[in-house]
Amino acid sequence: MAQFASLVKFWPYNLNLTLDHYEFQIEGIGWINFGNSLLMATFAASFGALIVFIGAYVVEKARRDAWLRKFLQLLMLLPMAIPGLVLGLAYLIFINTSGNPASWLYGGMAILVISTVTHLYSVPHLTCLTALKGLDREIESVGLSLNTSVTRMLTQITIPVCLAAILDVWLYIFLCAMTTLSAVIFLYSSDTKLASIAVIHIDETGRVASAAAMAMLLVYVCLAVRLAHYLIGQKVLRKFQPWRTS
Amino acid sequence: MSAQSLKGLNAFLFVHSKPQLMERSDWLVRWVCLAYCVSAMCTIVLPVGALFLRSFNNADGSFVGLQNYLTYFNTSALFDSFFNSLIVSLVTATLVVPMAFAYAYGLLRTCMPFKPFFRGVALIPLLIPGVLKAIALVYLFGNQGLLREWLFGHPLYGPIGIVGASVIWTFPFAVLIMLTALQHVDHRLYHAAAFLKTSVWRTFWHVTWPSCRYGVTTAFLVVTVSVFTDFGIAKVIGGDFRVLATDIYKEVIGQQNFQMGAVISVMLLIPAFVVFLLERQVAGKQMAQFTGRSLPYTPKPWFGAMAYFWGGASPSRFLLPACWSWRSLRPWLSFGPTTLT
Repeated sequence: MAQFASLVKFWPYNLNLTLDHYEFQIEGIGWINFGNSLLMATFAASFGALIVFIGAYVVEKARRDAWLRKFLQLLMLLPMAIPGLVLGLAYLIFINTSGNPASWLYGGMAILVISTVTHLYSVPHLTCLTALKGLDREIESVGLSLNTSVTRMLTQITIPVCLAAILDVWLYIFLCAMTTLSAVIFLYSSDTKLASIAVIHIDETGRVASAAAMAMLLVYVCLAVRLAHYLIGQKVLRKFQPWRTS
Repeated sequence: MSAQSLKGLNAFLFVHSKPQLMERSDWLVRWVCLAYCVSAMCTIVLPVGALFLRSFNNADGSFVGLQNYLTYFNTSALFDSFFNSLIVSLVTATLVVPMAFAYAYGLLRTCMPFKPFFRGVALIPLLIPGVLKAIALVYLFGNQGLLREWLFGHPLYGPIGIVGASVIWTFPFAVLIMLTALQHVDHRLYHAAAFLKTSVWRTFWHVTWPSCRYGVTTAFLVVTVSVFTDFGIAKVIGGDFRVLATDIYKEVIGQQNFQMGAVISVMLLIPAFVVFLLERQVAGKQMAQFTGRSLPYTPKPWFGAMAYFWGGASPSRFLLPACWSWRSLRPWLSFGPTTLT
């Protein structure tokens, strides 16, 4: 892939150099923030990809309840219109409203995952929708007439065909969750502080070099995950979609 | 043939013609739909509703109507930041969109060499957080920056820095939108134009421009709203220059003033929402243009254009690699520019 080749030209740094970089990091803010970010992004991406795919499947493939699906589609595009900072503050206010049964979520990792997935929902939803639209509706009818169960259709046909899109969605949510700031800045606690928030806090203390280092850590992870996504994608696609040559 | 499969065949044959009994899977789908609606309500509609409500309450939680909004509009320090945000985002969009247009045009419509390389270069920043771009600019043009003289003594911290970092940050998004917009044009129109001996300029305005103006509008709207709502860049490089996003942060984290934070959030939300509606409308129009009969455009070598685009139509091509290479060195230079100079 040409894009990745050019990426390497600009970033000729491999694992040895990142190790130096980690040493530099220790005196700065904790390594734990970085771990939190990784954990949060992994959860958000895995959970998000699953939710988004099922949501898009229901919206696209269901044969009944047209008005319900239209309404759902509208709701799913709504996050695109809401700035992350506004969503974060809305969560903060909503969850601290007295009598909210979900208030136990406050200060935990779950609320960060939920707000991130909600914030990023629309673009992955559209990606999945496009992938599902590529699959003819007749296939479902054939499956139905052959008395195939929905789960079997899903696991044998729909998911393998849409696998590339699902992987893309996973990558998108992961990358955005690693670098997101606005949706989580009001919702973290001292235990769940993320690296992106740490960057801002280090920068506030004036040690810009440490802030840059922490941000570079994020870039390296993003690059590594991008590469892993590419390699896994190649392998998986070759197995499940041999007709597609890329 | 068992009764089960007969039922399936029946469902298949009459699926479009007459109402049928709900299958078990239909019930499942209906319940999943409802569950999604409920969770979307809980995660989007209710929190934003709570935010709206809070903007009409005072600190004790009692209803005060529009009083918070009146305070907001009468405090010039607060209200000014609305215009600051607006100006910064409009300036950024005005700078980025022509640059991205020229870049995408060069990639798709000319025969310039090293196209994959330039495409990659434009899209790398997608992997880099916006905050890091602001930090890179601090190192390049900040008070101890390498290229400080280039700003002729103007301080980086403030509108210049925000616009600069936002330009670098939003450029790849704009390029992506412009690439899709420019891809979807019918080559037959260019054949017709060439056959009628239309001038290059006229062809551009009468063929190229109408086919991609929706894309340009979308790019403009997306860039504007991204910069308008962005927090990280303004926080790192904004200095004393107030914008809406940093105002919310200051009110909520600094002063625990939730109701004012809510008011500013509403001020941020409404323009973003309007732009969202506009963008959906424009995007719908763009899709309708390319039909099945259209031929994709294939560029012809034209040396004037090649020299123009390759020679550096967009200054970003040189500025961006400079920023990246410098930034990637940063963490390893333990003391930064002070040890270098």
